[in-house]
Amino acid sequence: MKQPPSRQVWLACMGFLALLWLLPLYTMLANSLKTIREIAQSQYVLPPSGLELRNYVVALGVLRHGLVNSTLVALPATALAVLLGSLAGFFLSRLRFRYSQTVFFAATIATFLPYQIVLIPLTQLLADLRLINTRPGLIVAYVLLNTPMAALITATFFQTVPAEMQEAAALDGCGPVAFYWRILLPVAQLGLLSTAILIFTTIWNEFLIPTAMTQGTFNQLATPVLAGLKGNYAQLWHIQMAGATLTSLPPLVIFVFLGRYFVSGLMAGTLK
Amino acid sequence: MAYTRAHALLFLAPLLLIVLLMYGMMAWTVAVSMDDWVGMAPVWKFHGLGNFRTLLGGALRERLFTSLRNNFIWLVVFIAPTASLGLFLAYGLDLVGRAERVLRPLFLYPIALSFVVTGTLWAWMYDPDAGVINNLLRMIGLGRWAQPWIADPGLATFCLIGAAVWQYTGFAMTLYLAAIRDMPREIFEAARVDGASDVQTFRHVVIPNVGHATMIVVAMLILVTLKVFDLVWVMTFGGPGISTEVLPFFMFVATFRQQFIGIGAAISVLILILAVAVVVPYAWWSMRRLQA
Amino acid sequence: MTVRHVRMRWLAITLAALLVATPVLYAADQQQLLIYHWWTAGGERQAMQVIFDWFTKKNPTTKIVDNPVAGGGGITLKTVLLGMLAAKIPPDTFQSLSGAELKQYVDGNYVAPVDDVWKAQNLDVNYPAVIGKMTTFKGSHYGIPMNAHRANWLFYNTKLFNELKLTPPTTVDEMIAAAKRIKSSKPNVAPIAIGTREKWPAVFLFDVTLLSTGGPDAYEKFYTGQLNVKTAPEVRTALQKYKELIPYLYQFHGAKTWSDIAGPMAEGQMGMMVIGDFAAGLLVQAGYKEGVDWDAVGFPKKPQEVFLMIVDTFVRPAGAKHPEATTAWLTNLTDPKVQGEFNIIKGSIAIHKAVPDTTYPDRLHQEASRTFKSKRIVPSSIHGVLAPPAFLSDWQDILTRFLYSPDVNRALDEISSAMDLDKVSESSGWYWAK
Repeated sequence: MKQPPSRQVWLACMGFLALLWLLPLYTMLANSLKTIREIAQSQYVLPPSGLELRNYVVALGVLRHGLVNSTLVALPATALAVLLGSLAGFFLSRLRFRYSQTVFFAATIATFLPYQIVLIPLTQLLADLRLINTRPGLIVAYVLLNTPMAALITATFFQTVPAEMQEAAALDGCGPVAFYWRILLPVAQLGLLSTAILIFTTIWNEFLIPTAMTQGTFNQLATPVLAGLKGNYAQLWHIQMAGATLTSLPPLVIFVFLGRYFVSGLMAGTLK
Repeated sequence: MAYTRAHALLFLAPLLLIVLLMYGMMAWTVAVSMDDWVGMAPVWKFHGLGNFRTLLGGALRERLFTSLRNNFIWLVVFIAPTASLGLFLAYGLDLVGRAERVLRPLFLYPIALSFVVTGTLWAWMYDPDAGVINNLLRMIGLGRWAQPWIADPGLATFCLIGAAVWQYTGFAMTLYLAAIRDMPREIFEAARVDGASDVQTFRHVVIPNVGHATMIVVAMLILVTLKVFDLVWVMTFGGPGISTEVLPFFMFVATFRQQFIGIGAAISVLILILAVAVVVPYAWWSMRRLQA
Repeated sequence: MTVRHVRMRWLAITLAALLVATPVLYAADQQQLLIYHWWTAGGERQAMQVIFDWFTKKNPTTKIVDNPVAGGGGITLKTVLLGMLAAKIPPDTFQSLSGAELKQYVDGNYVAPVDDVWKAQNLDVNYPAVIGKMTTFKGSHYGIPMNAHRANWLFYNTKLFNELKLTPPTTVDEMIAAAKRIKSSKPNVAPIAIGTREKWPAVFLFDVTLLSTGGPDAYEKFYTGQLNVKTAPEVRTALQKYKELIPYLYQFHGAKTWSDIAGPMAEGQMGMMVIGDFAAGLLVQAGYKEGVDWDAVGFPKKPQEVFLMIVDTFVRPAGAKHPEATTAWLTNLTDPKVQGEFNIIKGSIAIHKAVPDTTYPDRLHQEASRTFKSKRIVPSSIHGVLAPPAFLSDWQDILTRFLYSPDVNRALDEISSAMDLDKVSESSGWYWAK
């Protein structure tokens, strides 16, 4: 079947954008395979003359603990933040509660607080709770910082679920917990997964909190280690680019894994 | 649907507790903003609105207004293209068939990259001599379009915004994709049966139905705009001069490089005020439109 | 697979991780040294390992818990320390610079005096007097320095200079003359290489300009707020001379960091570069040979050649949990053997007088060592060591803006306001204390 011209234009645009999107990736990969001499020459657009895979070996050697640690922190923290956030999001968006709007706005404003400045009281709080240099401590810090945002995004998605569905469930004797767990979550799963993607990458790429709250090179997370790969005077950009490629792989794996759910949307209408 | 107090506790208590803690920290910030805290150790010396006076009318006035101006530019120039591109791509993924499996993670990939690297990569992209953009332009014969990019104080902020668009479009795309895939397939079928082209479907089926998604996309992008720091730190360090400084950057430099903790807290309060001023009207307007 | 399964799986992961993570990640009571610094990769990290190895040899039962924090000049470290120190969980030692930068910790009562180590290691004799001055506040020493970088080198491309029969400049005027020659003979070569994306190289260039036009006394007075900026001729002259350099600077300096231009200079795309000795390490690692591709001279040589010094120090935090480890660490740093080995790899020079010039394998560092021992040592302004860090931050902004719009009068106004706001003269009394 011949494709209509407007579709061809659309596809061509997508292709062009895809190429544009690839350019920085090319820059990262190309420079990650250069020798230190080539990096010193600062010719970023040029491809490497050979493939210095050694850079990846070196980067991995430094990063391997960090990658594991980051996974062990980011996955539970994301899951918890999305869980706790969606619980509140459901309540605020679907159940009649006099102060829904107020809480909603309060949570929204809270997400705008620049967290660097609250690093001081946050460190104090976690020190008082004796959570410094523990994995639960990091998870707590990240859940604190990300749950409001999770609540906001999930609440917005929950709002698009048709009211009839909820009424029908109520008529069937379904309580809020059952509705949330059995009906709402599956129906709004794409919204939840989008939230999870955002929060996971936010936590994964965050830098100051693990630096403040983790001690020792074996316990450090991936992003602070990545930031240090270049060195203050050493300027090992090529190692850092290799490290960046490695550090971006776990989130990429998550994108691909979760992406399967995006392929077929739930047909909301047929669930009635 | 009816619920009991126990339900309310289960659903709402975690968020409330967290929001309460955040407001506690906000209260701390407000207290420090009215405190003459200079230097590393906490100094509690009530200073009233002195820090705000310094920022709004005193020695730091120029820096504050440069940051405000830049944040305003970000608000205007960053959000619309990112959201629009995101929507364009989200619907486009419906059209590309099997290529979607590759394209979706491709456009989303930038958000997986650490800021440490994104800033450096784009500085390399924008490098006037050896960078990717200028050299590609020269290769295809458009060398006269080559610019100094981040070496030009007038262009640098726009360069930063370009990098941010690259980084966040994928996320807007994902939110829109979720909204589109949530829509019942019947309405797309109906449009196809009616003989609508892709553009027409986009205009008359997709756009009217992504109101909620747009609201959250724009809110998230406003959040990004008022929080962007790492990209500026790595790519231009606020320079040339202070031409690319934004409020979070100014706050960080004042607090941690200059040890003006009181001033930094005051800037944070200003950021919060700005957030309220932008988000509340926007959310209210959005809700009205969605309920109409 | 339904969402329920995904959620179940995530809950399981959460629980598992929490269970695994519950025991604290290290035993807090074991004798250890919790250390924070910013030497995170490459040669600097290997150099740090040298010190660790020596420390472990002398203190075999003390475990080193190393925390390298990325961030030039320790900005991230300071950010994190602000919270840790306020929460009363200081590390056992951390890296600082000297002078006004170190004074911040002293003023906050976050560091304790180290006079015991200073006297025990006879540092009044073994270290140059200026180092004692840079670490003394309220009559006591507060940091143990271990190495020195020299900031005032002029690197140049040897092939270019040979070809054009240029001699390395000794004053800024000579540098401008050489730049003119380069520009007219080789229009594609940028006479003066500089990369201001991170802003501080602009200060390095100004520093040597001020040293050349005003001399070290004017330099010290300027940075400690002893000069009336608007009226003092030294500052105006220096800024005007700085302005004369602008046409010869690499035109896209705003897009480059200091390390981006070192290679191009050695390749011949740029002629001269004012930078510290750490650039030598980078060039050598990249395969560029001293004397063949590049060379360096102390700059300026007139009116007086000085060693513009950057030192790294370690401190004794107040209330640290393992004070014996801290003392052992600080003592170890003063060992000339340790300093020698460390500095060869690090690319700086030892400050202990017992370390001979011949320790260093290359000509540049041997000359640095000689200069350190024979010429006047002036602390470099960088990182807020003379003028406080608050001023340095504003100063970098002022200078980079000046490079784009060189209005001397406006700059003098800006400097004056910055010095007021950042309280430069009030906080610099320590430098002139007798």
